[in-house]
Amino acid sequence: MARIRLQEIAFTYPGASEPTLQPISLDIQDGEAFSLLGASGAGKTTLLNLLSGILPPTQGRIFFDDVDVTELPGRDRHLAQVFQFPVLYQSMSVAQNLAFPLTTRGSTLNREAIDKRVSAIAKELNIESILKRSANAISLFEKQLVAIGRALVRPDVSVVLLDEPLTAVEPSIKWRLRRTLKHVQDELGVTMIYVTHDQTEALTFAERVSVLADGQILQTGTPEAVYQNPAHQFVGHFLGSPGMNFLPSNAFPQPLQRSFVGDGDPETIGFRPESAGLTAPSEVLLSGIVETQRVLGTAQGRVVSMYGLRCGAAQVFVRSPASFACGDEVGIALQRWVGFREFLRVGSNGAE
Amino acid sequence: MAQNKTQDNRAWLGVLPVMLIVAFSGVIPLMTVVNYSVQDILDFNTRFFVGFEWYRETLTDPRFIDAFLRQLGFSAAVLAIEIPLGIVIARGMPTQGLRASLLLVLLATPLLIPWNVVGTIWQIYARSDIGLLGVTLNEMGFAFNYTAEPLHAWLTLLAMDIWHWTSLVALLAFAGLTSVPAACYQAAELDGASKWQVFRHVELPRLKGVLVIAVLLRLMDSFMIYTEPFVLTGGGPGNTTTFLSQYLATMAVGQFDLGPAAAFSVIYFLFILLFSWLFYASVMRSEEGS
Repeated sequence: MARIRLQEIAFTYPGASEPTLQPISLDIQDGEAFSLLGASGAGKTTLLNLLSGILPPTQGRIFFDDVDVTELPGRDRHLAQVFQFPVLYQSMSVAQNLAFPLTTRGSTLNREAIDKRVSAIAKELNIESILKRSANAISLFEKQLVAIGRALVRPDVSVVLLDEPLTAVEPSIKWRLRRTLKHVQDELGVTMIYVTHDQTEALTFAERVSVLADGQILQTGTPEAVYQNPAHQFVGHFLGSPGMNFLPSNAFPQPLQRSFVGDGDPETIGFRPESAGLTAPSEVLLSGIVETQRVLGTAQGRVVSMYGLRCGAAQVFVRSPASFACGDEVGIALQRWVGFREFLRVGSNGAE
Repeated sequence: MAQNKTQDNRAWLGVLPVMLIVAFSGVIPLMTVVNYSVQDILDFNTRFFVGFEWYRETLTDPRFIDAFLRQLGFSAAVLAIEIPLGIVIARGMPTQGLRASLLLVLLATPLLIPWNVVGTIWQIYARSDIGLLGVTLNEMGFAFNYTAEPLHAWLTLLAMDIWHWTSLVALLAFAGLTSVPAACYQAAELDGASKWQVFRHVELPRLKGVLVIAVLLRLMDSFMIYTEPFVLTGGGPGNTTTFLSQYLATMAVGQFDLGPAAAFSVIYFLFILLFSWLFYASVMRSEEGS
């Protein structure tokens, strides 16, 4: 297990005019569950390939613990990777698959130690019952579990890279695999880097999340911080469903505008659908017209709806237990907001 | 619905054309051979039923047994060289770009050359008096002469077959290799697999399908080799390169021994069927076992 440090890592594909990755610095702690979140094309896979040694960075250094591994080939970095689709040695049994990384070069374990390690990992992942089966004869879900097991089996593994590992798995069992992964990560304390475009996966798995867009890290922080306090408008927009609402600050009533000024004088105000309440219209509140209403369910006995509201030129969404009908004029009371200037956060009224 | 179906034998008329075509092109010619193989035919009007006599005679004929063993040796040698060599070539090929396209064309070229042309090319090329290869070998001190030395004739024939057909194996293996996902190589690399382990555990299992086809094609084809030894030495020196098909041709066309030749053909056919089946079944068995 290792601490992973990226120092000003950048990458430009040969012949490309635009860099795929802008200089990125990142410090991932030993034993941390870390997630890289971004839309496709953001540079996640490139970053992963730089870590696993498939691509050499155009500039910058990569450190595992305090060893500079920038020039080392992937096999000497002691890392393991789980891919989108389960990658198994199909002519081997499940047990042989799990044991394989322990039997290759440089491994000094004897037969007994290997068997012990394999059964320990199998127990951890709850796949003891299929150890003797052929790797071809198990379900997709089990295959991915075995692939995860193979990544974890080496005791000296420095980091496990997970490249959208739930893509191939049916939605109905995604949560099971996600929970197993989280459990194993807690149990074994392996440094894991989980790459995904799925915010739920990233936010539920990771202790810290980096949000990538256009080859840049826009924000790194705990899931809570990234969600509640986005450092960049894109982060607010990308996370949440629907994402953060954005309104120009001059769309708000005067008293509110004055209060914004003290918080960095933002030009745009963002707030999440669940961070606002709906009341009767008032002069001191942002006002909007209800355009759509969709019942989400009940919370503590009250019906909660998602309201689509028209505020001047913009449409905002507010989740509220209040009961209004389409066409009603309502007041929107912000409980927590974040202010942006040129897409970057300049202030907020919420806790950090 | 089922009980509403009307029984109508006129439906047979629908498949009649196909049955006729298959009968005329496959079944009747084959039955002619079977028919010949159980009769002694003296002339158009005189024939005797002899049962399995020709079969017994063929199977105990020392010349048949010799040709058969020679044939087994030749096919085994061809497979033992062409399959590994084809895989090695396929693994060494670039997968994209101009070089890949050029190599593919180059590899496909020998496959387009007719058998007798290949035979003639090598017949001249390896001649010890005027052939480039033969003369060069002799100048280097090897007394190479395929018309006199059985071993030299065999080596020339093997070289010819390898030159002609390794490409087929290479192209099939190449197609198989392109279907191996990049992630599989990457995972093996990170697992610390050696080059041999990558081949054995990543590539070979995915090549299995195409290699079965390659082995079957080369097995059947090499088992029926006729033109090349015929062009090279006519089966000589002595009978050392007389393989089954040539012996059969001598019998049927040369001596007009239609009865024994027909029995020979049936036995020949059954052997090819048997070998192919044995191979295929053993591969499929190992598939289930794994």
